[in-house]
Amino acid sequence: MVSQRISRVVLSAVLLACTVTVAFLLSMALIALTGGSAFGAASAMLQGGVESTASLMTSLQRATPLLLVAIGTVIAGRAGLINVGQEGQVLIGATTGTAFGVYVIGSGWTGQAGTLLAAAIGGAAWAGIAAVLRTWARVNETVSTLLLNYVAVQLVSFLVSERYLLQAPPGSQAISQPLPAPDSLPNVLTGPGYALTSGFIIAVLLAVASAVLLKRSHFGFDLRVLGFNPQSADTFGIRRNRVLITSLMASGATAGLAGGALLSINPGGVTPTFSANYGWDGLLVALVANYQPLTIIPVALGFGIIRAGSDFVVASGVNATIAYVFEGLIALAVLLPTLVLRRQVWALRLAQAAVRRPEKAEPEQAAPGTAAGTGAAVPATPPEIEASRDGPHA
Amino acid sequence: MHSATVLIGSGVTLAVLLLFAALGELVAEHAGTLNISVEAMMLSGAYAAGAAAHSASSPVAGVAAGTAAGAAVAFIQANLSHRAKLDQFVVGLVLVILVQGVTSFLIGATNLTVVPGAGNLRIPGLASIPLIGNALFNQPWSFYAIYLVLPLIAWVLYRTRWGLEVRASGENPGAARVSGVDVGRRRRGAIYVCGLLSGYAGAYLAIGIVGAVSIQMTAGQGYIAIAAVLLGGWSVRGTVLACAIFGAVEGAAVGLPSLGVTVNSQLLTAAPYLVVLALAPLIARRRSQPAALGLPM
Repeated sequence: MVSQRISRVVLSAVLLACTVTVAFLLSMALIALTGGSAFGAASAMLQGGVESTASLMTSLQRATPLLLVAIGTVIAGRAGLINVGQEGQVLIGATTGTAFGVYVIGSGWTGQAGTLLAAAIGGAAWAGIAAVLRTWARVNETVSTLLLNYVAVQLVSFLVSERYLLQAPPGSQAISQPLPAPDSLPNVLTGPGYALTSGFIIAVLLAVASAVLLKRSHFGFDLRVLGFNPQSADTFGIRRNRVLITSLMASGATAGLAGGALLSINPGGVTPTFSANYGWDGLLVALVANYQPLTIIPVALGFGIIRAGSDFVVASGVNATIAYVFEGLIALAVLLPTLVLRRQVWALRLAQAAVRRPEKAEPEQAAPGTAAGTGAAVPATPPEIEASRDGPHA
Repeated sequence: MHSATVLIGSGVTLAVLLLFAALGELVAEHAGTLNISVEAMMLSGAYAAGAAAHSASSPVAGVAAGTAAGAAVAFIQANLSHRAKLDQFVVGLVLVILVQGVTSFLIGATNLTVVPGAGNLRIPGLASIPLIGNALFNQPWSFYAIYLVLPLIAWVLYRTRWGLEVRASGENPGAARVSGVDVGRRRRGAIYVCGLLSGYAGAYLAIGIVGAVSIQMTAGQGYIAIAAVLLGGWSVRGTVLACAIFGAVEGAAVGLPSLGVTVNSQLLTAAPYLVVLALAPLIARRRSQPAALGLPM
């Protein structure tokens, strides 16, 4: 079984390398077709993302909000909840964080910690609307979180357009007052031309903590039971609504925290488009990582490199939105190998079943419709259990 | 022009935009599929329509290209989620992000903004009916397809063998399969219908309504169309009514400022989303949704 597992890992790595290469080539083809220099864009992407220590630090900085968003997405996903409201939660978090910095405490470590905490609370409260709608009125959380994104943009647009609320003093632009002390987190590593804020370290620690929480804690168990089989949650005496509200709000809290982290990346003040797709990309990170709490760390880093690199791509004369094309293609590229793998596992099981029970190995068992029945004939691992290990959205 | 006429006019224009996409999504949801890629289908339709109309300087070619682009997105969604059995929600989300990226990139790279518009086509006589005549019979030519599509969808869904099999696939896929219905095939077919109609909706938006192409120009209209199907209780009549409500709210957001009425613009823009959220508890209480909606086969 071990060698089988290794061959699966190797196969998936090879497939992934192939599909990611195809995704890369497709992006380059798109650039070339629109008259840009594909090679120039690719080298600029590498230059901005990984070439020097400074660009690596920028990549880590861009990866921080993505990782934070993905942590929450994984937590909610394990409870079977599909939160797609991260974009709005990030924006609301950035706004509440700014409000705290501007109106309560702006400087010192209390100001910094308070800003981040206020950001997390803002995001949690925004997700809380969807949680309450779900538990009290049975409104599907996917629909409500999706729609709340658009409401969040308008709410923030209103807040940053009124002088008595958050608008910056000069002019009539829709932009908030900047934080008094925008460098909200201390640096842990500084050198010539670069600095690593503690944000990324905190995000990685949070990711590890959430992995432990999901795997080892009572709360994590409750979450997984609710996600895999809501009916059996009652048997275990799990208070469904409570777990549901907690996990969705935790998801909003990390997204809000990502908004707080964004405040130190873009210190100029909050605008209605401040979240800049960080919420959607963080969701994509969680999907690409197949809702695995530790896998999101390298995936977020990869997406951070793409984002940092795309800033350099602009200089080579290619539109920076190529980063979104690339990210979308990468997500598709990561989804496809799981298909081939699943096929392969099915073929393997059918073959095993045929060997063990030769008299039962009739031709129609090869049909996909009867595959579940064939799987039941193999006592070792019924397919349902194998499938459930891949997470709620496999 | 009378202010009520203006408001009803812009309301109907926007309601029909939603209705094209919502009728497609209605068919898809009756087959048990929940495509959030409607947004991607509309956006790709809008861009392709604008690009084709611009390069061929023909609005008809634009509408054809937009419809085809919606169908192309539907082809990917249908085959990845109902042939290859990837999670339909994940595929939809990835498609939305991908199409948003590709269209934003292409708009930025090609400087394509203004699209040759077609102008309104006034039906003489009918357009003179007071109050509603102007709204229903003085519209861009691409608007009038709704008079054909609406009864056609109602007939196909409830009066044909194909429609029956589609609905069976959404209510009880197991029983449908035992009865000899190829559930996966019916579901893919329903998504193709959704793609064609959503692509057409995007083309109508770019060529008929706006006359231009801009980044993320659908701005969540696809999601509103999905919400209209839910709010309409999965019936043709209900979907039309829900689209009319959303169209009226959006039309008011567009029309009120030009009439000199000052209402908070952010509130007006957020209004359709707030209306859905406010009405959602009522929808959730109803039990009319296809039993296997969103469940994989």
